[in-house]
Amino acid sequence: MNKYLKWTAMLVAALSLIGTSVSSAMAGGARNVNFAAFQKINPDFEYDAIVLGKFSDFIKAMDGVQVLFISHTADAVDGDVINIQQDVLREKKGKLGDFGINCQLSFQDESSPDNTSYALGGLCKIIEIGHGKDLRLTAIIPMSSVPDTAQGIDAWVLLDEDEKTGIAFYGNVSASKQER
Amino acid sequence: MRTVMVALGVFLMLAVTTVQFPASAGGLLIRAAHASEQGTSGKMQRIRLVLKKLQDAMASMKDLGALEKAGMPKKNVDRMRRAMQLKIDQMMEEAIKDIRAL
Repeated sequence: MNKYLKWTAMLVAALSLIGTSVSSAMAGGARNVNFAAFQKINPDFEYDAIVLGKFSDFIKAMDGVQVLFISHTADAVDGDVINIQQDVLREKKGKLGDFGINCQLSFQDESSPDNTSYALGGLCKIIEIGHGKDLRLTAIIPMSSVPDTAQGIDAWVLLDEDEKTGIAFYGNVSASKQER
Repeated sequence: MRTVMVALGVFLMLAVTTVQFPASAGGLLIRAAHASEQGTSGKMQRIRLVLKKLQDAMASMKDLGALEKAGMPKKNVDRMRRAMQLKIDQMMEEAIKDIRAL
């Protein structure tokens, strides 16, 4: 996984450089944080480290997995803690079951005056408790660079994959419409 | 004939009122009791949900240490801890308010 993260970081850095030359850099500022979770349906499916293209291309590339959630946090700024709760509490025969994913992410703006750079990291809890299941996994997402689509490159980067459940997390940042 | 009609009308009205009044009053009482029962069980269910969320949030505090080990800067982890603590405090307040309202 470390080797894979290193590659991802290099690719994101390369994309940022390309992006800087494509459009004039906007240093820092609020960004929309896009974060998505998928789960494999087809066990042979391999997650790509980076998926290039518009949102529709991204979803098209995920043939063989199901979308668990797609989250869009508008106007996030450096230091924001993003909470995503997607779990379902279900009562059955007087017992409370809990199923889904909860994430707590830290968003960092590492931009310099002439280049933008954003990072995202945190933890996601994959919960399947009750009704005969007892699974509680914590996926640690180390702080990783995420592509800034405002730099002219539409890309989603794989932040983490849990091999036991086949769940993977992707992210990127985009600018608000008025900033484009 | 008119007197007979009026008398019949009054009789029917009285009959309906006598039959309906206890029924509607009883129905009202039953409905009120049912609503209160539903209200209490609804409140209990809400408290159980809040407590479950609270328990999970408290457990998450322990997991945040793993982020630092994974290389996340301490200031980020501390910020996430503060954010989680804030959530826990909010949920705690909510739970206490709900318990008091029982």
